[in-house]
Amino acid sequence: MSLHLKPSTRLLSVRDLHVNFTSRWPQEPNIDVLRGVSFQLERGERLALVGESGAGKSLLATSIIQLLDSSARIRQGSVHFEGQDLTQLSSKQLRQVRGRRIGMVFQDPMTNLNPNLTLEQQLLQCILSHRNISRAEARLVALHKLRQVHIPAPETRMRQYPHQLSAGQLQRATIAMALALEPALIIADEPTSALDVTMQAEIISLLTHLCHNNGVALLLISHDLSLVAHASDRCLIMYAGQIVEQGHTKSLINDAQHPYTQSLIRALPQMSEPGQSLYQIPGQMPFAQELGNQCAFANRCEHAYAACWNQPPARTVTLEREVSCHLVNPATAPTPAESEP
Amino acid sequence: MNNVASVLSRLITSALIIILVAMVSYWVLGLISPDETRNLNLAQYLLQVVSGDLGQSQFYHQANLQLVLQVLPATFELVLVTSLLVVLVVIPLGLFTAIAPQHKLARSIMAVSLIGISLPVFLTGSIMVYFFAVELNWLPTFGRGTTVPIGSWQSGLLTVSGWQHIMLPAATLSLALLPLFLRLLRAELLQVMQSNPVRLAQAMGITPWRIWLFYGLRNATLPMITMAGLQFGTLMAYTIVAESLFQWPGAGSLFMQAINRSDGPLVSAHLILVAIMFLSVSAIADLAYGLFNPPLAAWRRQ
Amino acid sequence: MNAAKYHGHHIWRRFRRQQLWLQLKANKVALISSVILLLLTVTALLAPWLSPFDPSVLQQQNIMDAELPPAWHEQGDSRFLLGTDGLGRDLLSSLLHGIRTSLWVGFWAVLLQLTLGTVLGLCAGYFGGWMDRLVMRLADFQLTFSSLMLAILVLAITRAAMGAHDYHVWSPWLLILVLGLADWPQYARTLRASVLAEKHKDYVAAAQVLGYRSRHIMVMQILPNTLSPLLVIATLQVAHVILAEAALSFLGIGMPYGNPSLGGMMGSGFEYMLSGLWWIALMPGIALVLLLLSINLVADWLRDALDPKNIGPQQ
Ligand SMILES: Nc1ncnc2c1ncn2[C@@H]1O[C@H](COP(=O)(O)OP(=O)(O)OP(=O)(O)O)[C@@H](O)[C@H]1O
Ligand code: SF4
Ligand SMILES: [Mg+2]
Repeated sequence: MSLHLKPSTRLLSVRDLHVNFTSRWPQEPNIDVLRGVSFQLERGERLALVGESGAGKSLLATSIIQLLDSSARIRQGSVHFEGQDLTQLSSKQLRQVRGRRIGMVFQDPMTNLNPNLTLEQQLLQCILSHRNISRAEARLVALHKLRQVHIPAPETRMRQYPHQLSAGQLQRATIAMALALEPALIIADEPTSALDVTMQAEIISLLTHLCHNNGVALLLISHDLSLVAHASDRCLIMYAGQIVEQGHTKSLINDAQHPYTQSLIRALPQMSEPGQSLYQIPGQMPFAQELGNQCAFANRCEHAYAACWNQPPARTVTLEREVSCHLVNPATAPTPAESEP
Repeated sequence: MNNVASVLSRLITSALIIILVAMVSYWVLGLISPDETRNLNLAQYLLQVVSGDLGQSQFYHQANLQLVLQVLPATFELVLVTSLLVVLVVIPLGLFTAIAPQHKLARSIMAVSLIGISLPVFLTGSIMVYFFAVELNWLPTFGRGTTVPIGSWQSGLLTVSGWQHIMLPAATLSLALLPLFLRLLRAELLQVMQSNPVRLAQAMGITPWRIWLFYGLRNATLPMITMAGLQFGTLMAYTIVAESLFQWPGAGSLFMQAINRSDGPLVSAHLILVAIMFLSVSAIADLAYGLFNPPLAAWRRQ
Repeated sequence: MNAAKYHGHHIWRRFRRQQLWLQLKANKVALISSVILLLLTVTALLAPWLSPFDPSVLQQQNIMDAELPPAWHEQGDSRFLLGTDGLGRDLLSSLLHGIRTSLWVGFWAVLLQLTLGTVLGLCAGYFGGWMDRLVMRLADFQLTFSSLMLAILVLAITRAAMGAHDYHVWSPWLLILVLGLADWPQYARTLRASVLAEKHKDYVAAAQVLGYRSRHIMVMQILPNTLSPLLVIATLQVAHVILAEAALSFLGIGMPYGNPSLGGMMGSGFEYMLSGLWWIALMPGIALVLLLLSINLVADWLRDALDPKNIGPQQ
């Protein structure tokens, strides 16, 4: 639906984002780890961000809310959210956005909640930081949100400490916290990878349903394409700090155009015949500093040819798809002779 | 059930330790005053100790227990005021030096605290006496001033003169402990601020003062309690030094008097009382630790 | 034998790689404090030759010279640079001898601690089981009880038992013995941890299979790993021991009266301070702080400099 909607429904627009880490060695240059990330997110849309470990997914999430490590820096690019460029805001203004307009859910609820405060205390800290209401009112809000995420017996659970709850319940609680101030966007960074498998689908469907019912947009980060396949409207595929392909999730899975996306799909468990071993993408993702003037995927790509090693692919935009691969770009597509293996 | 068992095992260990210390103190009694043990064998001595009789001082001709109980309020009040001073100073300074580590004032506070670690308690005491008592003539240098009885407790904290007298010794003692706790609190705060819960709190836009208070300070409480427990022996030693420096009529002074007079019974009674004090403090520290540590407290309760 | 030789070489390489000298030159505070420490040590060692008077010679006490302020003071006497004490002894001479005493006690006590801690730590780590539990339990207890408190109790009781006169014949040695035996847990913990880390490595099992004495190899492997932390702990402990010695002497249960020590000088100078003669107690106090501060700063710097994380270029 996204591309047909009018610009006024645009919620988040990331443009040409470059993020680097300050090198510990002064003689070494600072190398970009996010290398020109651009995408848009409409109000109420569910967007998935998929890529393997180290691709820069978490870094992208923290750059959106400007919560980077002290050693990381946004070198270039902008993050427009509800009409303001978040990269230009003061820390005070940012605090009006964080939590209130953008809720955040991190990976491991066991380590992300404060072990020394009860759930109630943590939820209250969050609500009272943003809303000028009494503790009693804030408690009602917290209780309401805990009910929404289906925590059983919320009145008693609220008064417990994190170690007294299961990982699934804790993740529900952090989702409740993220929803507590009725934000326009929730960023969930691998919200289920610390949970056991039976819990995963449940949490994902809870998250997507809550977002849908409350009209909240969702940026769902995962390294597992199958997990987000049914939980997203559109999908970004990230590799080595770049978005290599984006489009509607369904069509992207049915008709992947970038070789990396294709191998991700081949690696899905559903794709392999019974008894056959799972497909694994050979090789390793390169480190940012190893990348020269080439396609970042070239060392692992089955279709790589001369052009791939000589220049990075440009973005090819079609009606509903964006792909960064020489193969797809008519200007650089291989001649028939080159495409012969 | 578990709870009862752990309390019980703790009591049994404590009793064993006290009996062990009592044996040592019998030996010490024999070393210092051989005639005292001539008509008293170890079993009789232990029996006396268990029944709460710690013998009679050779010098004062008074029950040792009573002697110590008379001076204990002085020591207790000194330690209490010292701890309050430390807490009142360490928390704001620790927060400030962690919030603004690059600030000029914060840097100088940390530099001074480094020097403070190298300052012996008797030197700070001497310097304070020289300035506040000798040069400025503001504060008295010995004794604890007028005391008021509360039941059998002689308190110096209810009179102006009592407060004047406690100022210098308490300030001296707290200056000796401050640098250590300040450096610990600052390091803990800086570490907590890098932790996952704080990152989530920041991502949820929680107000900085709430983060410092409910995440930073709250999560630094446990290491501070552990440290306080670990420093109890040092505090006891420093209290002895400070009490002799300021002639504070407390248990430390009484102990040094007993040593100087070779008062065997009084010295050996002190040994047992030190052991009891030590065991109670470690029990209190554990209790406080459990109180401030929800996972541990819950585990205990089960 | 070969293993020993190889690892001996290895230790050196590690030390050299850390380029201590270059790092020292880069750190002003550390440089200044190590220079001060060096100066103090040298003057202390040469105290018998450098000091204008010999504090132990009673004939030199002259009541006419008592309580003289430092030489720069208008009532000062140029013979006594830092003034004299209540008995007319030259403070500078006592001070130099006092620093010598402090360093002497510090050195021997730390050597004793190091030996004891190393042995206990190695045993706890290597034998494990009840040995480990016992040693660690004792270490916890010792840490909580604090070496100073233990020393106060032991020395005070010994003094009460022996009487002041006999006690002071023995007290320097007792001091070293008690302070040396009281503060071993930190060394033991460090060694135990690195033995445990080493114990399960393959080469230990391999050596055992091949019939070599794994214990020997292990020790040779562990020592280089622990050399840096042990050095840092030992340096800090020298300051700690000196501080404890001063406190004990201040209380009158440390160094004997005739034997000048910084703590003892401050103890006897305190009364004079009450009547406004500040220098008798303060001069040794300043010397003590200078000594402790320089040792602590050098130890602080050593800790950073020897930390493997900090090897390589810095930010
Ligand atoms: N402090 C840092 N200094 C230098 N590089 C860093 C630092 N933190 C992360 N990186 C680099 O940034 C890249 C992106 O890391 P990020 O955590 O965003 O990956 P991710 O896609 O979230 O992976 P995962 O699935 O493991 O969470 C990684 O390649 C990593 O090497
Ligand atoms: S540009 Fe070349 S190497 Fe890169 S993905 Fe496309 S075909 Fe493969
Ligand atoms: Mg991640």
